Amino acid sequence: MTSRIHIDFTEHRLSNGLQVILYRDNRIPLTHVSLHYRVGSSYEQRGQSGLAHLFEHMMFEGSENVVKNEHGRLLDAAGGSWNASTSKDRTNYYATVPSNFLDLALWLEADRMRSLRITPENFENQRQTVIEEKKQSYDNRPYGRAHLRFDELAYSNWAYGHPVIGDVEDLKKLTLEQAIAFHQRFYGPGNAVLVLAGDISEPEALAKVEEYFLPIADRTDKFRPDLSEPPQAQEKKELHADVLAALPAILLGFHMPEYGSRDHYALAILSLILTQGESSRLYRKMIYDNNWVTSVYSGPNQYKGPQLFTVWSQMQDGNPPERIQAELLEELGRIGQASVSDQELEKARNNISHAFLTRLSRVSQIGEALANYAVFLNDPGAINTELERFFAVTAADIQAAAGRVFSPANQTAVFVLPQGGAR
Amino acid sequence: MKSARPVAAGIRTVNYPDIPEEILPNGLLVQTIEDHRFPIVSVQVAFPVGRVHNPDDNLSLLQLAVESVKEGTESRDARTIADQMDYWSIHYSGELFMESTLHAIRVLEQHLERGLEILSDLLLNPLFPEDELEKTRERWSSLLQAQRSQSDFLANERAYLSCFEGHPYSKSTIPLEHLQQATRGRLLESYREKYAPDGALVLLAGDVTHEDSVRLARRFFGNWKSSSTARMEYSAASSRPKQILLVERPNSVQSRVLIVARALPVADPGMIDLRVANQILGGSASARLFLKLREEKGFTYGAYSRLKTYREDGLLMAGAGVRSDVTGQAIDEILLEFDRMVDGLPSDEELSRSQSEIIGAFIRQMETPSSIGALEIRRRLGGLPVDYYRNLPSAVQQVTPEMVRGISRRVFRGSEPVVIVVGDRQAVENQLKHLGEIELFDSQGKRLSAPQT
Repeated sequence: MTSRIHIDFTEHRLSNGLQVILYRDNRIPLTHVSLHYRVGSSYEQRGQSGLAHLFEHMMFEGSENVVKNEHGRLLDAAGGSWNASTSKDRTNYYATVPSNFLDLALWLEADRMRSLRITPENFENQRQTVIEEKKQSYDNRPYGRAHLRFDELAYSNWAYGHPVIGDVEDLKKLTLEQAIAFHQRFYGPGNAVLVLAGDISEPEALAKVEEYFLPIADRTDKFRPDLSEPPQAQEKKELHADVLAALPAILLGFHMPEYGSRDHYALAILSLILTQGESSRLYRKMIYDNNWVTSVYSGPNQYKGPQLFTVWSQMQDGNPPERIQAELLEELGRIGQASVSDQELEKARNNISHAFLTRLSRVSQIGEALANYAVFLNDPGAINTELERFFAVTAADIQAAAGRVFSPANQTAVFVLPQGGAR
Repeated sequence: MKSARPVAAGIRTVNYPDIPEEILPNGLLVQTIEDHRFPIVSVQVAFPVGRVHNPDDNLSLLQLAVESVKEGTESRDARTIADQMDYWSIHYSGELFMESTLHAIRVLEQHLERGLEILSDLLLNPLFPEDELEKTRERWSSLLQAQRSQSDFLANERAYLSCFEGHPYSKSTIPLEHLQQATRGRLLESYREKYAPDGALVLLAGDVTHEDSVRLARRFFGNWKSSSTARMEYSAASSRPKQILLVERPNSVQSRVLIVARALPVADPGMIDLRVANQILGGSASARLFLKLREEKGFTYGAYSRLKTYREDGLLMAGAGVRSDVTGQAIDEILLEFDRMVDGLPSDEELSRSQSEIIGAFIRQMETPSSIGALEIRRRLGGLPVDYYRNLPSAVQQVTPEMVRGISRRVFRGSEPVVIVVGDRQAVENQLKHLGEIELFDSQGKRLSAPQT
């Protein structure tokens, strides 16, 4: 059924190291341009937390031929949609433009890769903006601070432990010189993947990419952070008082292998069996049958390196978190003892097929998927093979992975308890 | 590399497709958007029934009805419905809007008939079993409480209650006691009275032909009886005086600021002009509000404005999450930007960029059959002309600077703004006093003080 869909892309590497992926789809006059840099918060040094994300903001502050905020303004004027995001493992910049504006999108990306203009005024302005972003996205939201705290508690390795948004005290101390050095070290063609997906002609698109990016010399080094995480010897647990939360909540995490590993696919399938849809195991037990919780989600946290299998649940008032934790652990423990049924596995496969096909209906999503596979698996071709990897997962694989991962000692738990005004 | 910016001539736009349709004898309109590239079909069943049609004494009934159609039918209990939907990957969603209801599924083409059979069972034969209703009531009680911890929710609630006081458009949130008072009998009565095929439409989009759409619609929805109940009519809400509303949210580390102007009904001839004006004011990160409040002042992570349009009325809502200590200044800046829209003409660059933003968004919506379907449903239920989307790009391009100023005068001078702040009372109250008398509310929606008259 899904074999009739195949993404025919081509892959190229310029002499300055830039990896280029082209995918042609001329059905609608739109082209998605996505530039992924292999740098995220895990690349930061202690004392400079938040720099990767703050730097993402600085990329819109102007370059040699583009003044402050002009980048977005020109893309808007072209009818494009654009944004950027920073994760622990990578930073991406993307725009979907009417295809006759491809030159503009490439020129803008190349100009800021080559010649970012970092001024004290812009740096200060964006530092304030990020501090407000942290307030809006975390400090002023129920459970926001607990989410930030969770990785910090679970990971012993600071690289993944500290939050992408950074620590405000670190943000306040960051200097212009550090930002300039960051650009030179990480923002060059040798550390980037450029994807063009949509209404292009491949030879012409490649010629344009060469025209704009080939003159940029690569100054990046090949630094990759040490993401290794020592085995966890005993359970970690923390209570978190939250003055904004109205209901208690629980976050559980279990250390598991990296994205793309065999266990990753097995546990990703398991997360569907546990929490996808109203017939899933945890939905049925925790919400439908007993009304202990109002929501429950689970799955690998999608990090390139050592991951956590996380379970998040907002609880009904009056339920002791320890009891909810025990119920969740009992369900997770059952997976390691008895395999999931054939019907559950088939249901998960149906859902994955559906999700894959849905994702292929927009060139922007195909472009982002190609870039993600290039960065996370060093293999953009995974867009055509990953479904098979999911399909190859057996009940025995799930049982074995669950047995390895869901042990009490491997667990991190954060309980969020409402305190004060929100109730 | 080139230092000169590449230029391109205009946006290549796309044509809105011809959408074939047929009306079944029971009044149900069947439409199809064919696209055979991917083996997926979305089915959207839309009704001209929304929150406004809730009875005044219980604002939870239609929301409960939408939620509970999948909790049991004459031939399936809730567990069976969930089992079958999940197994066949039938992605169902049901949503109640201000003036419409949408039940939708998305399925692999090979499971289309199975999906339609289940969807029709949910819509034609819901039982709303008492035990399931009780579960939903319990679940929702907590969720209704939890949403009161969100500053965005509190600001929006206050906007609708204040701008549309006494009008059906004020029915934005569900009081807890209404949920507790909702009975199975009233739910069944409301559902049967309000939801019927006449006036409704089913739109199939994706890997399906129109011939098959009509055949399947006849088979699964053809026996649905039309209704004889007349639908409630209402007119535009009356205008309100200027209001300064402070919702006290203890422990806030930021203020949520929302300034609301009464806008236009969806089919108003000035609506295209207003969309362009809103885009210039706050429709993107290149717009005036963002540049002023974030890039120039550093008050916020983002500041935007958006339009909410309904059959008889509309709102323009401008807002931002701002530092508590600059709450008053942020409001002053937003109001100044309202004045600038009224007093001056937009630059050619602003106008043309904003026009391109709207046209670009339209092209992106034309990329998938289900998103085209969503536009078509909005057009139908909003009473917009058949060629509305076909003409949209050219209509947007014809808006002039004078038209932007004219529509801004109509909107920003046509009524008084409502200023809403959700935040820490102690930190912000003094900053609002220059605006006028302040009405104070708690996060439960209770009025703590009224302005002195």
